[in-house]
Amino acid sequence: MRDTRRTRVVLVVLLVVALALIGLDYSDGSNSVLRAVRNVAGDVFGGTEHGTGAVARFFSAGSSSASQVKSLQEQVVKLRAELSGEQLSKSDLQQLRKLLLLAGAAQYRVLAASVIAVGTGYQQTVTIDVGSSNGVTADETVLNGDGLVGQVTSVTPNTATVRLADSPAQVVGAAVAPSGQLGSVTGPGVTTSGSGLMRLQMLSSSAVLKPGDELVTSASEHDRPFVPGVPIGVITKLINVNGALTEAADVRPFVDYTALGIVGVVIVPPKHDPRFSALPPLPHPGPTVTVTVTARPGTAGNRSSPSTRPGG
Amino acid sequence: MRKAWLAPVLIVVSIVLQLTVLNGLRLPGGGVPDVVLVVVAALAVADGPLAGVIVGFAAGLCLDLAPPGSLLVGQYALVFCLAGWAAGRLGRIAGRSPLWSAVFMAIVVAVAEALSTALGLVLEPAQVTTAEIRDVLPATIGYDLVLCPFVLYLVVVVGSLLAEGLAAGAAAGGVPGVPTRSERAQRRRQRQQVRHHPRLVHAAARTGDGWLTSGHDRYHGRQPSGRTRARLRPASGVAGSASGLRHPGSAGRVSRTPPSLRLAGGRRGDGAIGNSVGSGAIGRGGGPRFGPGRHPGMLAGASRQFRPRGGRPGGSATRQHSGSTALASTGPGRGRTPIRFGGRRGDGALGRAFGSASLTRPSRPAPATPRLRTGTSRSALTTRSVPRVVPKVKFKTAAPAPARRSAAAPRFRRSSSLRSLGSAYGLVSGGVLEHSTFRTARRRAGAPRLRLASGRRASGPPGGGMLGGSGRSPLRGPRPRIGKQPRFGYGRRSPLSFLTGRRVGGSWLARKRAGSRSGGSLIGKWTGGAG
Repeated sequence: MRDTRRTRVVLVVLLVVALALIGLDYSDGSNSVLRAVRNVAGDVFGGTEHGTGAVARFFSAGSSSASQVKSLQEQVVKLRAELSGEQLSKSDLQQLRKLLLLAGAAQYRVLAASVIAVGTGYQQTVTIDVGSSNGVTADETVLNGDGLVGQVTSVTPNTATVRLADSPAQVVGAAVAPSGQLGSVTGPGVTTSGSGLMRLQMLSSSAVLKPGDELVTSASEHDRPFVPGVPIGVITKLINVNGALTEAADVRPFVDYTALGIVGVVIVPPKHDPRFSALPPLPHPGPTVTVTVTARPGTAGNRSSPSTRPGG
Repeated sequence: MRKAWLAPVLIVVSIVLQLTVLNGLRLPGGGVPDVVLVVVAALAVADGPLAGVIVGFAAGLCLDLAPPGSLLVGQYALVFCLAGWAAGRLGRIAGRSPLWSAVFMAIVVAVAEALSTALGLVLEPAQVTTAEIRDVLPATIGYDLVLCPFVLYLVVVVGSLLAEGLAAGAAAGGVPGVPTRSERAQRRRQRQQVRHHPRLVHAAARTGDGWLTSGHDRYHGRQPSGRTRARLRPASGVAGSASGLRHPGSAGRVSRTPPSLRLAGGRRGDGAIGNSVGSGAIGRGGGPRFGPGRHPGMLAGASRQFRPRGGRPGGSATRQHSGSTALASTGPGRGRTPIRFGGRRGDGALGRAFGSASLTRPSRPAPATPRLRTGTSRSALTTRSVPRVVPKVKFKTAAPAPARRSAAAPRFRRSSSLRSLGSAYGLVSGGVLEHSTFRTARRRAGAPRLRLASGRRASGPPGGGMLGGSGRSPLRGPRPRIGKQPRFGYGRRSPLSFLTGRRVGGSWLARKRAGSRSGGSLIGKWTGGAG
């Protein structure tokens, strides 16, 4: 039948085109034609996603924090302008506050952005609504108020694609908090629970780990792709493999990669290595106050020892 | 037909929905439904494989290029293209059964999801791990399958609403995806009316009279129903009478491909051929109304003028046009309407009544007049209006090709000379050529396509042998099929004979050329061959 024959011809032609595109992209990832096409698609779909993102965030909006609005207004004014007058929900405000606290602690200069689209299938990528027109370039660090989000992989004029640290393809150099020992962290990918545990592999065989240790990013060359000092996660379990040269551990990330809202792109790295200053304050054990009451005859001694233990 | 913009709109909406909302959801099981794939499969099931292929490719490419996409460009395009094709094919098989459509669609979606995963595993091994696949793939497929019937329902509902108008879609009831029997019949009718197929109906003609007739003149007094279409009525063994008249009700809907008639009057007598296209309604503006058997050679046209000359040799052609009425702009005047027919001696009356009335636009000027290019001696042409587009009518006065032969059917070139040769040079009785005579004849006639008959012995005097295996005149019956003629003759060296070292020709070639059906071996057997 003619219809079927034409259909087959079209099918074969389109399959060949698809294979050719795959081959072209595979052989030369930075092809100018493909980049231009991607830019156009980024403009078109990015604009649509930008419009839809506000609606989409309704679904993922968390709890309210009405009491803190007043105290944060001054900090928010600048970011509000950057977000082009977009109405910020209260959960966004909270995320912005945490982002600013983190960036302030580690002396990063960040550009706030919001996640407008999430990659399909097994791609651990998101799109944020800032691009090269805002000064974002590839291989910059993306974080939010909790810690490391990922790395900018490609940029279009108004959008940027971020590969999450969650991705199995992403390897992050990490430093263990107290000791500064180096290792690398890879992501688990998409898992049933939403965000799984990362895997830490130490570089040195003499490294000693224990559950509860926290990780930050170690310094990269020229601060790309990762600026130093961004919190990654906390070690939950050591993995003992017979015959392994170095230690490995499971790491629970600080960031919930399935509920990303406001993120920040580090556009100016810190002048000095912030070390572990950006880590959340909770793990640092506070001073243990011990009050000893001198015993008097006839009364029982009272001993109070409030202490703060690091949360696991 | 579905609106053309339904598919792009659905695809864009589903892509944006997928990227902004669905992928960010945290659903139990770890996966999220792939709504783009489901929409592609639904559109393919509804619209067929070709649309499925194109829509799938476009959707996949968009999904590859849309900003968070980090895979290789073309990965989703490849998978979705295949999925669209498969869903379209299986949708054809499923027909209009919604259950089977949904089942096939679910199968295609599941397979495509697995294929997409496998392709990702091959092409991007760093991004896809087997642990991920084990976790996510079953949930993704499960969500897809849950989504399948709803999306299919949505696509079909929206498509039918767009196709039939909102009111009709609402009136069609709650389940447009499951059309009732009458709906199905109605759609089938609508589909069929788009094309304009002539139907062949035998004419109840008397011997010797052919007339032009319309499709509905058999039923006097009956208004043509909406289902009547133009019919071609070849004569049943009598002089050709044919008509390609469209019925009045569908005056505005003529297919754009012009009808092409190829008619041959098999007899020397009259033949009247008419083609009256786009005649108007009977009740309005004096449409054609005529009956069978009134007169030989009567033309079916605007019925004002008959040319009762069909009984005579010689063509009579008429062209009827009823003044103020016209073809609609979508009428057949758009394309040319070639009619070729040949009687034996140029006989046959050609009538062409064109556009006698139009229901829809009665005030349009008359568009067309035929131009006759003819070698016939007595053809008449009456024209009353200036044409806009001119149909062409060609007469062929040569011997008519048999109806079942194609246009590329070979012709006898020198048949007459062969016959005369045969009579002059002594075809022996029984239709067998003598050796020397055959050679002579062959050389003179230069027609190596001689078919020797194993006819009746003593059926004629010497020299009266028959050509043709059946004993019929070659002009009468259907002609034997003759292949392409080689350029070289018997006994000559062929261009290829240097390869074989043999003289190609002689009895071998004669037998080859004569073929087995016509008893080519007789040459060698009876006469010793020609070489």
